[in-house]
Amino acid sequence: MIRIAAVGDVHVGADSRGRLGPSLAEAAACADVLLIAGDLTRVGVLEEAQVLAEELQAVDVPVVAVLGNHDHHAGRPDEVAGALSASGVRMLEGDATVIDVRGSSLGIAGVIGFGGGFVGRSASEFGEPEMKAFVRRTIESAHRLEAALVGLDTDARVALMHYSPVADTLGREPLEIHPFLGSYLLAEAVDRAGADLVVHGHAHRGSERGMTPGGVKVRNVAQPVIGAPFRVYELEIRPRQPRVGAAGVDGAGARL
Amino acid sequence: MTEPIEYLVARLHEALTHDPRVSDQSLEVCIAGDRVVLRGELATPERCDAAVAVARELCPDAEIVADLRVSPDRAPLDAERL
Repeated sequence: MIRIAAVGDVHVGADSRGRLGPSLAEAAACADVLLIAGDLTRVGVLEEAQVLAEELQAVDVPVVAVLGNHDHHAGRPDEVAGALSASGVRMLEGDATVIDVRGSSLGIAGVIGFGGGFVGRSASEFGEPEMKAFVRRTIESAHRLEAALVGLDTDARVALMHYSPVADTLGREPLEIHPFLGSYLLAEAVDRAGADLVVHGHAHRGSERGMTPGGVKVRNVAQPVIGAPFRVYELEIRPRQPRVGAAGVDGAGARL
Repeated sequence: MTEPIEYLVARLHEALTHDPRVSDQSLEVCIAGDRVVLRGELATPERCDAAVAVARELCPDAEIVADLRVSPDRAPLDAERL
């Protein structure tokens, strides 16, 4: 059994000092790892990242995170990620990390993701350069996610992202803004590579539970959705099966 | 000619997004008569107060009704087995 604590959209600012640390510290008592699904800061400045780094010092389990759109707002996402990495947070963007949990291996692949919408109502890489660039960013993010997942040879695999891979978890979000909340390309990447769980944030008016078309459970852990400092998910470790994916890679870990 | 309410709602959303005291895109804003209603969740009490201040600055003659929640700081009691 691997216990995963997860939260997104903590939006830390200078006014958050002392608020987050005590509750997140409790993750160590009930989980083996803490995942943070982006929007770590309010507007993406170094000072906010440093506040979060201080708050996370009390968390006595590995912390893995991706950036969100708020962390890009000031145009210094590398500074935000760098400050958190320096404090021990495993920051992911198109790569993966492996955590040993009592002899079992948990692989986590992470990207921020991006928008575009969902099947039948999605943007295409067509028309003006700005539209092509918008959709291209999502396509590239999905490719990086798939490659990172495929590269994991672990007992369990989790895909961590900020934007949503499915409309399932968008809940009360207006249909008109779905294309800005996520993309089916992220779900397709997960289904091609295989994973045991997808964790995302971004959709504050969303709902917690969903599933990719390929049957991978999706959880929206944006803090306004879960109504708690974090949620805990327990993953049963099952015997490994041969990996079946579009890439045709033999191995283990995928449970499609 | 009176400005359509839709444009005022849009300006309130923009102000809540860009004002550094709030920087939030997720709050619901609606206008009912002479009331401006804000709904949603923010990370700190200071941001909730700031959201009300932003609305008051844009709509000084309106009553601001704040149905805002601060993100909870109590740890969950249960886990979901997947």
